[in-house]
Amino acid sequence: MKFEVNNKEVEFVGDREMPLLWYLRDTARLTGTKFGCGIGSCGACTVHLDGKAVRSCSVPVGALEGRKITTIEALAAADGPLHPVQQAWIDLNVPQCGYCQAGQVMAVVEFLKAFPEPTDADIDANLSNLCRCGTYTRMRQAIHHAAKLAKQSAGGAA
Amino acid sequence: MSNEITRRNFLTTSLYGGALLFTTPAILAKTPSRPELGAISDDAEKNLSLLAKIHPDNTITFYYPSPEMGQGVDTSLALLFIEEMGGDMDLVSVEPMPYRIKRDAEGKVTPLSVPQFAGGSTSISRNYGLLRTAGANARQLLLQAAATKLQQPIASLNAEKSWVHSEDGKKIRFADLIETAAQESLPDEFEPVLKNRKDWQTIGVKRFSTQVEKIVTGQPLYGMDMDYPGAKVALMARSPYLDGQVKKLDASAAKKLPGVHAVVELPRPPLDENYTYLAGGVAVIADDFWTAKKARDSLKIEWDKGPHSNESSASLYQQCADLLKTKGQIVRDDGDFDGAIKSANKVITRDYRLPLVSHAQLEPQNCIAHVTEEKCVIIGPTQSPGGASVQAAKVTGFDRTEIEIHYTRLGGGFGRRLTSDHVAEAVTISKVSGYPVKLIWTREDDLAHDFYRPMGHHQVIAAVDDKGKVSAWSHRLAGTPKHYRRGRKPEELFDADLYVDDFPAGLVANLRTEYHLAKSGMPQGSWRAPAHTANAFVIQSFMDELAEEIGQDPLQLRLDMLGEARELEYGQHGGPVYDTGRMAGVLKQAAEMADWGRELPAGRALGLAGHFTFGGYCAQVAEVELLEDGKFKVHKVFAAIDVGIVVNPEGVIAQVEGGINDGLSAAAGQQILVEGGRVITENFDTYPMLRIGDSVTEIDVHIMPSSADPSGVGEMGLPPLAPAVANAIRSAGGRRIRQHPMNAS
Repeated sequence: MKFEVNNKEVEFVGDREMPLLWYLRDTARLTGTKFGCGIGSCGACTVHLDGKAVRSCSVPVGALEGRKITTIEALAAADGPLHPVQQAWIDLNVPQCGYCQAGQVMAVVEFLKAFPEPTDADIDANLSNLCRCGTYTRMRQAIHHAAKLAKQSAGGAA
Repeated sequence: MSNEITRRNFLTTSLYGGALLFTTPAILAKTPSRPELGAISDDAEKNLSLLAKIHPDNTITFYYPSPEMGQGVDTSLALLFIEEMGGDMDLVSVEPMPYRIKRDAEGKVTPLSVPQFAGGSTSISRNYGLLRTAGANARQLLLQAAATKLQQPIASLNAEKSWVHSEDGKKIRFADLIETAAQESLPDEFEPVLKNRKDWQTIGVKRFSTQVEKIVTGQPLYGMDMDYPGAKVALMARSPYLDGQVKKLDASAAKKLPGVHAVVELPRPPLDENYTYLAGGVAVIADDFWTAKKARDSLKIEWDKGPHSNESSASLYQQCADLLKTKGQIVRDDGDFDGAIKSANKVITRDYRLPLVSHAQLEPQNCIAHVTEEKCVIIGPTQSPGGASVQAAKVTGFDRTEIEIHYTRLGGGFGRRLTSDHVAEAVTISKVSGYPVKLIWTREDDLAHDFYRPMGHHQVIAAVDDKGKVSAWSHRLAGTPKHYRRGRKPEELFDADLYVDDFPAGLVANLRTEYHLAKSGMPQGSWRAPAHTANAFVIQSFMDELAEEIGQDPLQLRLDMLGEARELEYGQHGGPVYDTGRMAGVLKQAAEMADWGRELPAGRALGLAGHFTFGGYCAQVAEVELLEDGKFKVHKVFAAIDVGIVVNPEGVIAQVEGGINDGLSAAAGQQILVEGGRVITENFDTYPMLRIGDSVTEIDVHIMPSSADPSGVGEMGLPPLAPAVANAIRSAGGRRIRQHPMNAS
């Protein structure tokens, strides 16, 4: 079977039950996507599947035929600027241990598509990735900041 | 400042690959052939510690000596060195310092130069003098080189932002001094002079983490991301029963799976010795995680349930309650407690219960190990590479100094990786199987096999005299001991769970502290701010209960008990003194920030708590709203913290913010449940940890100005949160919460 990872087509032969997470980490050697719980609870393994945020520990490779996966490594083009959410995370110095943050960023990127000007209540109701370090308060500021950055860059492009 | 380290054995220079190396100790300091040292042999590099490199492009690599786990020491320790060196932090990147130990003349293992360890919030206090001295020496070497190159007297030179400037306006980059500086050594008459605080340009200035961009772009930084030539993935099926072991194993299905290389049995560790790894069981070794996982799932194992098969959460609480009906070990006894109780106007007694909790650091345990006849290589997340070498030496028979350890960035520590069971396990599996292995724990493994924060039943008794003053105080604890299999005598164990000089010791004349040791098969260990998390909740909740009973304002009662500003003896970690004035200072500051006493809408209230943790003073006021079904929302926390001189204010604020959310997460929902001699809490679906929706919406942190020695900050922000929230809930008209998880009805 074939699918696309970070804009490159890949061919897969093997156990179709293997979670996408372990394909990414062990086969594709893309270790930015993290293993946290294996049951789709913590969100450390969040990637985009056809543009939607999914928890890759709970998506079997067998479900990927013809689909497109984007991981944190390809969220921003290699030679381009960082994604506004990554930039906002830097501007607010969000990470502490940092292990959950790639997953947080991937989740927030998709969230901001649905909620381009989110309220705190939108954030509370729609984001659920786990951060043991407790960076949530900083993260909340960064989400609002990222929304502004995204708006500016969209304005600049238009 | 450390007395052991003198200027000349601490820091010398050499040239390596075009870069200027600042290395410790003085192995290359007086070598006549040093100018020819274009390449140091790999062997020579094993006998020195790299502290910093100046590269030909004028960038600097700083090798941080304490493992980084989110507490920000990779950045804050760099600030200390760079300030004194006169470097530019904008040019600095960081790497972990290679781990180096040696045996001294008496054969004792000591650090080669700098202690490499992260725990107890000690990285800043331990390195504050050391790294500044190193920086001052580095500056001197650079100035000497510049004096030669610029033909100027050294007294006319100054290092700033990685340039050396002369009084008459000449300047030269550090990078252009590399070759000259490599030939310099510190003159005998040189004494490093540290900068005056008023001249600081780097220490005390807000600095973001040096690693943020790598983190948000998914660069490999963590043990879980590391690779090793030929390494296979190992997963282990551990005995789910406390101190249980394999009775019968059928691994035939696992062995048939393509990609499985070996199935090896690990015996149950001896029960009467200090720990190595935590549980016996069966390891499977395969090409990748998924194959190993399938192989592990296919194992048919019958377990011997071991000696604790009747243990449960209920039995532990019952044991503690029964113990409190008896007289325990009196570990502090001031004045005449019994007499003061007899003559009291009023005696108030309250009980509090705290469960076992797991570290649940987000990066599950993992470790790469390769053991051969010749070597033992370890790569992985550890707060204590020294502890890792102790365990690996026990398993392999190598001398500790021969073991090669590379510590990575940690996806959370919180005390979990102070213990080195994961290292011992990986080393054992590699030794038994002969493969280089990358051991990976699943989340289920991680929650079921932890060194848990101890559980306990606390009872606090206070007597109030006829003038309304607190005349007697007793804190009684029956609980499981933090010091698990560390070879200590039972009567010594109390000191890890009761810090006898904690508030209000020394402030109430008749005071007694009593400990009861509960028996349990559960491994216990250090969990962020160890006993302070439980004891702050108990004591600071009780303070509000006392205030309510005697009709006093909770802030005023605390200030009255603290009395005038003075230093009391404090014999535990964080001492030697407890300063009542600094404690009162943070309480008043947090109260002022929160506008303590203001009117709030019905169902909302403020709650206050303050605690002294490992040398730092932190007070918090939580603004809490009661919701339906006994739930609550923490809208805002006002925090004041006094940790002495602050090296990186940004880091202090981040640690307090994190500590507040972490403290809420632990207190609100977390408990590890035990049933039938095994942990039954499996994963995050039954171990509720805080998500953004329940987090504190807004946090305001004030750092108290201070000229006291720095104390570190990784743990101080956590303990006051739970009692502040519990006190707010009560003030808002809710119930008095006397247990964790606070969300339980």
